[in-house]
Amino acid sequence: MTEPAFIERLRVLVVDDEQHARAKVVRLLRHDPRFETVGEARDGVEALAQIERLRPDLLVLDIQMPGLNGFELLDALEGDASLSVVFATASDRHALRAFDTHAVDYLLKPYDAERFAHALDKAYRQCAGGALGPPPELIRSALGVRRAHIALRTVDGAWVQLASDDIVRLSADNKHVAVTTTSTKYVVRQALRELSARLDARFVRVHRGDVVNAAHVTKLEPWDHGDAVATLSDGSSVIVTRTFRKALLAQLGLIRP
Amino acid sequence: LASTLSATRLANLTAQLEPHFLLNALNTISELMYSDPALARHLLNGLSQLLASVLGDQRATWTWAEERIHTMHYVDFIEARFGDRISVLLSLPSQLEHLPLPRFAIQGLVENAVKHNQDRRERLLIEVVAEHRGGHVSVSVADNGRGFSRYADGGYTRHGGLARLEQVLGLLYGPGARLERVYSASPGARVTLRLPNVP
Repeated sequence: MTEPAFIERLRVLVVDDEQHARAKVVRLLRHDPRFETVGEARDGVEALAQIERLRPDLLVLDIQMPGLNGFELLDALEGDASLSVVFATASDRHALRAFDTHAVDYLLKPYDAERFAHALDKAYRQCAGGALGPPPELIRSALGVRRAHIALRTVDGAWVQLASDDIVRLSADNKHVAVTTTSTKYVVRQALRELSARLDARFVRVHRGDVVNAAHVTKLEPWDHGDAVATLSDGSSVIVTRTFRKALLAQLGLIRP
Repeated sequence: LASTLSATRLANLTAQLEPHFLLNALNTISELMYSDPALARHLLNGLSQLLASVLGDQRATWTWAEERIHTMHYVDFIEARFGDRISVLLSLPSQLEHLPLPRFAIQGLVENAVKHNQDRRERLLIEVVAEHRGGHVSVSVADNGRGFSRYADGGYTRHGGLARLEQVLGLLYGPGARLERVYSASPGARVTLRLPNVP
């Protein structure tokens, strides 16, 4: 599967002493366009050299390995904050220690594709947000990397690249998300949570299924029970529920965040 | 009553299979289903037989032929998981085939050698040699690993496998059987079982 070159992919190093365990990770990563496998290491010593050379963003890391084990490897890296870690091991007895290392996730072998994808979602959020651990969504979006462009996959399987300035709103509808821009509308497969995690702080959740670009809000009127109605630059309107009102007002500069 | 007690103790001592072995084995199969379905089928069949022996069978002893097959199923997984990093050579003469021995005696010794050397980067060779001599049958499991004296400290697990096997031998044969550890083998460890020649 070849993907357009403009997708920003996170670089993954797979570290496991068993060849089929590595092959499984590599196979599962191949299905996720957000990531690319840049290398494989058979033990902690090899991993150390590869990290130096390849500068990965994410390690999928076994614990019991010859030479340096997974924890010894992380010790040797002295808490390199630019590196996210997903542990993958058959033993649950290291889980507590793993969380002390600020690991994104702890996969217990044998895991399935769905569980692995969940770990990748968490890793993607951490890498994209640059935060340690999973912060609340509002904080995460405030920390979010400001991306000028975002690549989306439409339901037809095509990739489209949008300037984030042009995105007016994202609305969840069942398993799909409708992304409205100043000129058109796309229906994409990704989850709303995942999409909004990739967008910067201007994009604010206003309702369970709606994220709007604060820069495209043209009018905000009070409605019932503390809710409000926002009118957007494309003429559409959206309900801003009480829970999310503050975040939008803060983004519009009307109150202190 | 004494014999029931012994039987229960024997059952508890022999019914062992490391849970992580099972989990890693399933993880290996879950990948081979995509990359090598024939090997996946072979290993799944082997795993079924390993589990049937561990979970279903209540006997304290079985024949050398059964032990050899059980050990080979186990070794299949070790080789699938670790490739050429760990090699196991089995040489069990066919005239022993019908003689009894404690269940999992050989497979357990091989597992022990793997467990205590898995954290080393050097290639591990494990050699199993059995002999029928005089009034005894002896079987040696030798490796080129770190040897006994430098096994990682692990309290109970340190010589847990061997201690269990010694208790099994005591319960089954009394003083007629022995387990010898060779500490000085350089490099590596060697364990030899001497069993009385009971038909």
